[in-house]
Amino acid sequence: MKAIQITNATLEYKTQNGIVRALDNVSLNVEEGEFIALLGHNGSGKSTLAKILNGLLIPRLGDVEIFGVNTKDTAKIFEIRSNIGMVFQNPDNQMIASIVEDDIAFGPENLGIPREEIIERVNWALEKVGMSEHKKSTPFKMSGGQKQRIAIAGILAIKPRIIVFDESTAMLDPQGRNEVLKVAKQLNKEDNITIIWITHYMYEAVDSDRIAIMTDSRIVAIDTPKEIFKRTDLIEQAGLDLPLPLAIANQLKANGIELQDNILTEQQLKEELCKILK
Amino acid sequence: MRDMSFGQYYPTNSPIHKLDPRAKLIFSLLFMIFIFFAKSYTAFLYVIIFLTIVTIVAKIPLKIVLKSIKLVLFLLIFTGLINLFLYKEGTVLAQWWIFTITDRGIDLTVKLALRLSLLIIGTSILTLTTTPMELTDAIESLLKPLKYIKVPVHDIAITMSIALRFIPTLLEETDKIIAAQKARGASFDTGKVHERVLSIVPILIPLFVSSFRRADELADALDARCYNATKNRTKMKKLTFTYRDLVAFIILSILIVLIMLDCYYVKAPAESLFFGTDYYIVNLFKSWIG
Repeated sequence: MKAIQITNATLEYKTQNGIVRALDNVSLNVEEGEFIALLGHNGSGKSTLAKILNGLLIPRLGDVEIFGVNTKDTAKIFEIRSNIGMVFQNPDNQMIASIVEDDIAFGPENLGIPREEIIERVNWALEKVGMSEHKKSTPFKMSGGQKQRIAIAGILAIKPRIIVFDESTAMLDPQGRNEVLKVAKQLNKEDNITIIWITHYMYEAVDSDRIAIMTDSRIVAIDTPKEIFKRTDLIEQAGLDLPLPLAIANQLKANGIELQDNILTEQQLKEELCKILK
Repeated sequence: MRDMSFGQYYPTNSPIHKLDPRAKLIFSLLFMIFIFFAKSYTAFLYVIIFLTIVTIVAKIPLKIVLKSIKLVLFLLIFTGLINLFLYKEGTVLAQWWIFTITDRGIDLTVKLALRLSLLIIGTSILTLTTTPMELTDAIESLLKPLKYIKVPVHDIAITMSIALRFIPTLLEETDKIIAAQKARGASFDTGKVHERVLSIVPILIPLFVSSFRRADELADALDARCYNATKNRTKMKKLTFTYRDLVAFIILSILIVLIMLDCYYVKAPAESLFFGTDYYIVNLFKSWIG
């Protein structure tokens, strides 16, 4: 069974300037345990795609199935939402309680989980995001990265099999960004949680399983990072920047220096350059 | 900036802090009701002794407890003066224009001031020893029976909790907006009064706009976390009454019994200036002096 199966989803918004199409015949299949990066410029439809995944929005045409359950099935909407968690952009706007543990308990409380199990889940979720010592504190004075990790813990406590990160790093400083990305990758590897990582920072997508690129409400490409980064034209068309090591490598290649094809990280670039200089 | 969502909470690890918040809430209500039955100075003395004991047990500095009166000092003085000058019954001690001061007027004024101050001190001990979050939980738990007449108790509790949660966030945002407007040349502390009032508008509008945006995102976040998934919602934090609450209740009951005895059982002659136990104490003093 596919974790996520979107078939020909189309959705429009009504705005002051008339009807705007946010999703145009989008199809996407995700296997359980995959780490998918969804890249696109502002207004490309990324966030709308995220919101149709857990039934916050229902596509006008087409279907969305999460582990075989259609989001149009209103009776099963909470089954879907307990399977697919969502971490949003602004950590401040996702917290409902002034104490960390109360906030994390909110999800399982809503699902009617027994008290003892909630306590277990809260401790487990806090440990997973490395915030155990902050259990009783208030998120108010924490850094953005810490707050976002609390938000992740709040989602984890629901025990979802998929987590969607909807530009969860956009408001964070570089350190916070790395913290959150690290947690997401860890959850993917250790707990086999399927991750949909939505961003417009290319470098965050470098070691994902597959990258999907969205331009003008469509998914224009979906492939492994290696293949995607070969198609420079496509990336530029989507209004995205190449990861810096790749951009440097491409420039060097254009100037006649022979480098390997798939240089994506700083480490690889370093090694390649050292090889040549020897 | 202080974390406003903690209100005036004064954290110490005292037995009063550890009382069940529901018990504290009920005790405070009882206290508020029965303080109006305190009619003699002796009864007020009982209350003062009771509050002193509570303050000591709660390990709250006296200064902080008394600070709560400062907020209502104006009200105290205002009502006191009206009572003092306009109460006409009793023996006239001084008179000027429409103002008269009588012995009963003085008596009434002092008692009113005492009653108001003690009322405020009593309730501020509740907020000094209980976090707003605990109070929210207590209110939710106490209102639970209203669920049967379809009052959305849980939604009310969540709303209160979210409101508390967003106070510091919105304060921070207000500071940022003020800084941003100042950087654009706005001034908030010069000019005439009406100019200063109007200068709040460029702070309020962005604050409202961003609050609506926040509310929108929060709604999505609540949905994503399965809000309203089941009617049988569970609670992680369970409130439980313990022996402590019983002890506290017994002590409060003693106070209430003493006040009620003084009010209804100990009778002073109607023509006397003094009420209840006071009358006998004063008589005792009189016979003592001779």
